[in-house]
Amino acid sequence: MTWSDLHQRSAELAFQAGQLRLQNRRDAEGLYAEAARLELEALDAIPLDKVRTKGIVGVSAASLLFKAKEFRKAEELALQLLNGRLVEDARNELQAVLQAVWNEETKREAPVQFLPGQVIVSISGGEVVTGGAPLDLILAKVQTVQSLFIRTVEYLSNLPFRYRGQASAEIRDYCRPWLFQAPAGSYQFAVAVESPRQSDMFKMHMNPRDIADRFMDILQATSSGSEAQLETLVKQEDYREIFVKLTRNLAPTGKNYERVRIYSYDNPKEILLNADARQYTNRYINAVSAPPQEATRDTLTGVLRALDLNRDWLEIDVEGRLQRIGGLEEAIDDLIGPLVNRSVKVIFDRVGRKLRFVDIEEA
Amino acid sequence: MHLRHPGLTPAMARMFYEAASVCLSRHHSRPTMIKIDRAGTVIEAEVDWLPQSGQLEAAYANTIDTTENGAYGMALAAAELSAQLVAIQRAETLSGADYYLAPEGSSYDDLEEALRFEVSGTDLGTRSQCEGRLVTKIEQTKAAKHSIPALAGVVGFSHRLVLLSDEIAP
Repeated sequence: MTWSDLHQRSAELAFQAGQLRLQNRRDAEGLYAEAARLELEALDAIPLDKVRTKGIVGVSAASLLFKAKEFRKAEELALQLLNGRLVEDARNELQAVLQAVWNEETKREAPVQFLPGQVIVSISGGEVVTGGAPLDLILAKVQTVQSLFIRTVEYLSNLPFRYRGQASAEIRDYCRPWLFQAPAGSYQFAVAVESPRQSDMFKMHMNPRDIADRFMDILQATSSGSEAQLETLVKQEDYREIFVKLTRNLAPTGKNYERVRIYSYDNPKEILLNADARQYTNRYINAVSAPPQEATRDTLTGVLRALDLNRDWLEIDVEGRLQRIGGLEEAIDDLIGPLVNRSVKVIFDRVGRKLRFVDIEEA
Repeated sequence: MHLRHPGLTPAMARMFYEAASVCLSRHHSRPTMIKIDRAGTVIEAEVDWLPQSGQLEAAYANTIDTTENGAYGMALAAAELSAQLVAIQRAETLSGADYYLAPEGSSYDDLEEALRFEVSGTDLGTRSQCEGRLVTKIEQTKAAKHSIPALAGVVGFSHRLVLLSDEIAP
């Protein structure tokens, strides 16, 4: 058999395994392992002067070993190939395989247990450089990703929608998101979910192994412009709205970063957020929050300076003048909290002299 | 399709065809005409697909994955028709898989001259949204500083549109 025949057979098995993964089934590892074995044979049969071909097939073999959970073999292959002649793409991809393997090993050696899979959040463009980004920007994005994870757990647990305060301690402890470093390509971080300590607590409603997959499904639906898909995935309107608003908070405004890519090593789905994602999410939010007949809708842009959710108001500094807006009962802590001291656009309804809050987003 | 695209197995080609059939059935009666716009050069082509069936819809109930897979099928067919490029290999990556294109009839014994194919699909997107997506794909490919040339494609199912970029040089 030629390398191409071996590779073709490997690709066929990998495709079948990918189909199983798309159905959120976790019995694909055997197929990936067989695909990796064939790909390694193909790699050996490629002439040494075919540098680009060897790089592409080498990345494929290392990725297949990783997907088959044969981490040690994936590491050995990546290190061996990185020692040889490679095109830049293959070098970057193999470094990503190594980092992914090391993350898996760290997770395995940690004193707590983690659920399978991790989600990588990659932020690029604007002020973001390879491996570095402004701290406040990254902190805000990490906080938003954490809120999305916790909201996903709450939704999957059939809990009533939470308007105020943090998630309950049970939820926060149940599936705690952890942050890992990810291969430097733009600024990236990986999120893994700690295994539940009390595994029977919510099991009536949710398989904890599904959290990362459902998180990706929901994020993809909120950013794809498919309302039907979102309604199928998330039955409750209040949850739909918070998922859309949190996704909007992740999407770039076009000022200090340009793109967000969210992907997973063991799930073929990929979410790309650019400035268009904000347009879609805003259209959705406007459609579900039409102003009452007697009100006029307006916006103010300034810095969010003060917030009192108990007394129901926020204050923004608009060119040195503080403007108070009331009616925050529809505002949600995890949405508005990360925006304090940041430049924001507040949408409100003016009824007589009263300004009633409708929505807030980063300006 | 797998007979003309050596990088597709019968199972892959079948899945792309079925997914594209579900996506097209959502908006159009068969057959219909689609526009293929390759960097400003537009051709029209007739497209036909499998009749709508409950079984097919149930098998492809996940709208997002179906749109992506259907887009791959449509974009590969469009690349073949408008640029005489065919899929010669599929290679796994850590986060998914890439397809590689080469001119019809060229040898697929190596990938030294192949183009990486970047595809995106939208069910309801307008023409300007499709164009926006193509720009994003091109920018993303350039920003990633790949050393392998690429081609980007966007499929808008409701708009009966396939947009293909020129070759994106490394």
